[in-house]
Amino acid sequence: MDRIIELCNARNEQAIRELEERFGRLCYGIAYRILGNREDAEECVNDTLHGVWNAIPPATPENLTAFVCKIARNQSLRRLEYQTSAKRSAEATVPIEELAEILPDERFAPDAEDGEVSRLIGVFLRKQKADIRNVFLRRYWFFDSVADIAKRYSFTESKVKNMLLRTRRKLKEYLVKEGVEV
Amino acid sequence: MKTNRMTEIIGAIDENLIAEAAQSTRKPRRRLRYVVGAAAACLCLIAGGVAWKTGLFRAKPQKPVTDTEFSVDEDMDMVLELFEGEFAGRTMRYQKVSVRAAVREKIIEGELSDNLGESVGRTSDSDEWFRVKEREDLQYLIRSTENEGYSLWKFRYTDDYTYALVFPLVYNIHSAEDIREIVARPSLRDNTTAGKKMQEEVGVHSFTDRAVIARFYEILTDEALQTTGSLRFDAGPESVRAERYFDIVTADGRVLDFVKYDGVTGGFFEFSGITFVPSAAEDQAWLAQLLSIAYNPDLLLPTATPTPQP
Repeated sequence: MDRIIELCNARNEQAIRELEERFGRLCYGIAYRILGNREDAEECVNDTLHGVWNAIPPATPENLTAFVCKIARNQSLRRLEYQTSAKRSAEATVPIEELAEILPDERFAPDAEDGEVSRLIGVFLRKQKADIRNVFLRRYWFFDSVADIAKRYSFTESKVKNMLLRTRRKLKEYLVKEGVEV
Repeated sequence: MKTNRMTEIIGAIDENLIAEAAQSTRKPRRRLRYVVGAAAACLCLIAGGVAWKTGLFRAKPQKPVTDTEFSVDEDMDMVLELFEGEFAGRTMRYQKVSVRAAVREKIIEGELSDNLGESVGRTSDSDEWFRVKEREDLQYLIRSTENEGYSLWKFRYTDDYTYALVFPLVYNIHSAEDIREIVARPSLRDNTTAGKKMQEEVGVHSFTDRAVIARFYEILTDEALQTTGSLRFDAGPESVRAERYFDIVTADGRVLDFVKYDGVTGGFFEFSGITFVPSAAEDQAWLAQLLSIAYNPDLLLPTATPTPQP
């Protein structure tokens, strides 16, 4: 078991320090990309650490990195939703619009089971090359900008855009084939 | 709502894929890697020299190094059993210091000369970790390895962290006499217009009265200082009113900027998550009065730790 999880289970505050050291920068990156604001991102990091501390126990995540990322993402999206309602823009709004063309909504697929769609996307991504899979997730899960993704993987921006476009099209075809109306 | 639903669907993707994407990068081509490595090594040397030239290691007031970096991949655990055995059996956690701030200073001042290696001070058994020359404290250490060359590390905490422990061992503060001045600054937690207005209202206050410093030191280094079970995560102008960031200026001119105080929970804290509550209610009251923090019971958080009984 991960040492941090053990510390959380023992309610040892060392866990908070180690969480911050190990994941602080990662969480900040996620929050900043979604919110586009340093102060908000810093507050989200604090909220995330607090969230992890409160969630473990009872949760015992198998993959702590993914678990922390998820909490950071959810905290940031929650804050973004509040900000968007106050007419503030952020980096995450563009990727969300890009997704609109491939994922079901209440108008067209009110009965589609969300969990099942998530599972199918996972199956689809596993069939793709690692580069394609990671670029897709960096864009739509982590909300990286195209420029950041290009820098991260040493691609040109146009290559990243093309990869994303093709992956979105292929995913849409795959979901239709699996019976999910989009 | 469609947007929410979409983000939730994507958000629920297999965790293993997320973890893979979180850590994924494309390895640079070999040649580029050499260039980057060489550039990084040069940067370290330049920054080390600059840090030395700009007085980072000298006994005079200096800008605190705040631009630190966290590295997920770096194994920062180490057990120091050196320096006359004073750390034997204790896990010391250090953090590699980013040198960008130092480089920026160098560019401004146009100074460039020595490298970090010339700042290496005495050691005992270790052939990898060194004290900084002409400094008795262990806030900074220099590491020298064949692969990475010299790097600068800043103390973070020990496995059993208290100020009673780390003040003498790490910061070379053995009594109130080793402190020259305490500066209380308003919290920077809220940098909105309202927050900045509050920062101006609170202002910066310097304490040089020996009796004040003595009591402050006594409270901080109380062996019975209790670790709290909660942290504050709120923000806003009220946090500026209730919190103070301290600069502890030592008699030999170093500035220690890690201690902070929260008037709401009545405890000390650090950004790394360390929190302590004074063991006596009168100490909290004295601090509140000294720092002009007016208690407002409505601000107390549900998670605030009650004042411990003496």
